[in-house]
Amino acid sequence: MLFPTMQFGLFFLVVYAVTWGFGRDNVARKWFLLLASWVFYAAWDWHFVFLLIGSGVMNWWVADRINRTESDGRRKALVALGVTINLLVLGVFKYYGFFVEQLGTLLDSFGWGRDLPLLEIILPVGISFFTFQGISYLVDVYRGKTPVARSLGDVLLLMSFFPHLVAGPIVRASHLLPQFERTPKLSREIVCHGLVLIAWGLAKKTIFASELATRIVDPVFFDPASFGVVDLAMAAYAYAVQIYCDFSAYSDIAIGVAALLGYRFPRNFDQPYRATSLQDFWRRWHMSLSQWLRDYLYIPLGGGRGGLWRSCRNLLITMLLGGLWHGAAWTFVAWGALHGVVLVIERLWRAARPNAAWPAWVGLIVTFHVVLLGWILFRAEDFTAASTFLVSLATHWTAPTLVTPMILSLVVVGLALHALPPRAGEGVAQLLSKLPSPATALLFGAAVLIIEAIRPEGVAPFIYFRF
Amino acid sequence: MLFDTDPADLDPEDFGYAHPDEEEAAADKARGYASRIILIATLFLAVTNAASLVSWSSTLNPDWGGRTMRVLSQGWAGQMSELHLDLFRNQVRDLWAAFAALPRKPDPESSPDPGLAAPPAE
Repeated sequence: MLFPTMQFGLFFLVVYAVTWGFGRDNVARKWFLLLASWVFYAAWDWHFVFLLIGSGVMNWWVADRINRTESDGRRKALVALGVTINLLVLGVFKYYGFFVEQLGTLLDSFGWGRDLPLLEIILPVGISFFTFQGISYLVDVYRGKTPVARSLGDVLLLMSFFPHLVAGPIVRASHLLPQFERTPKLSREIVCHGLVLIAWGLAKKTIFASELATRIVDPVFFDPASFGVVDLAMAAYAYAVQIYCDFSAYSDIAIGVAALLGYRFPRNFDQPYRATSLQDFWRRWHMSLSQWLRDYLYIPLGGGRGGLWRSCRNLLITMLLGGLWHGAAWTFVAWGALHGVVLVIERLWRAARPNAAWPAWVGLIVTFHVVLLGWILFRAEDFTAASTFLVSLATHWTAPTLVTPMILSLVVVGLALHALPPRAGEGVAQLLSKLPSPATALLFGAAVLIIEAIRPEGVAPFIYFRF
Repeated sequence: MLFDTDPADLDPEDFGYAHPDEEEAAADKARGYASRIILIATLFLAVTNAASLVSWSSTLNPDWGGRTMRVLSQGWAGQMSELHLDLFRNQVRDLWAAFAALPRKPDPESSPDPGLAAPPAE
């Protein structure tokens, strides 16, 4: 069930009406939201609802044991057990085929080729997100950063709550569990902010991301050798806009939908292409993931403790694993490695020249183009396609065939969005909240109507669904 | 017990008989405000955007429910069209299609509206 579809719209209307119909009966509300979340997830494949429930029960049980155990060694063993089980589940479903394939290639290269047990394993939608959510809950309970959940139902809802279930944001237990414990409340500002985010998310996904994907990105990345420099360059810029609009749209709609149900999610994007360094980029792009990687991978590896070189090593490992988290392919690892290496260079540069400062615009342009290079690796099917793309980009001077005024406009506007004031959405919401409800409703309805009129037929799944 | 329902653990505000304070009254008002917005926006879209209902119903399985939904949505869209309530949607769509087709050479056989994006004759 995709957000920008009639099916989801009808689903949400029912969920909204029933949820608020419970009044102050918070227990019934949570029960209903849990069932609704499972229905939402079952729309893809009902079998995996049991995986989601099993994962939730396991995390609840381990966290409960950690909470009841006094011995430090036993607590450590329990958290290690829980994290291992979570990673095993993720490994089997997401990486089994990849690692068996690599093992087969390795054995072949030594002449020891064998028929390895390749399995057709379907990747459950959103497994990377709910697994990370489970790990963060266990580790936070272990560290004493969040109290253990009052009930199994709260943990199940934490992991299954449908707005964030399949593509984040990764909402921490310390953020969401306290909200589940009290009756949710609304304010006019929150309602309007939710509506603005939903409308804005729909526009970004169905207009910017969909149009750019079908008209230039998909054809060019499918066969880069057939296109010239201008088409290739425009496709790279278009993909930068597409992936931002696609993923941030999901986050915006998720935050907006949760807001209308009375729950707050953290911001996940903050105009990432405004970043003046790669470090700054990761403070703005998929913030819930970068904070997760920092707290549960970089810091446990040692973080910045142990000197400059050790912190650089930890940074590189974190980004490599962050790349692998995105997908079971070497192109994702290379994407993570590129980001890791540039982050290390930035760190070394800052250490060597603490007082040197580039003009902000130089940092912005350089950072954006490093990110762009990374997106080419990220989007390409494999290294051959990526290298063909890059070689053609430097050598294949032919007339453009796909660049149209509309594509140019979408790319320019998509990038220019980053020049808006940082909290423009909140500003619009403030203005809307001063209006009477019929006026706000008609403005929201008109915005959705225009988006519906413009959008192409059908909608492709969000890019981050497969992660 | 799946959800903790022990009254001892609940805040006083969770009890139904507690008098709502000002904050809760404001939250109730905001809920009413949100519900009115959603209701009005839904009705507005139902009459001005009936074509989306038709295209959604065409994706449903061809069982009894899917066929019924298709017939109902087509009937509804036809009614709205007769009242010209789909005019704004169609105009926006045509404008966007013209924008999308701007530099393309005309293809008289496939274009539904040959005059829309035709460049000057050479």
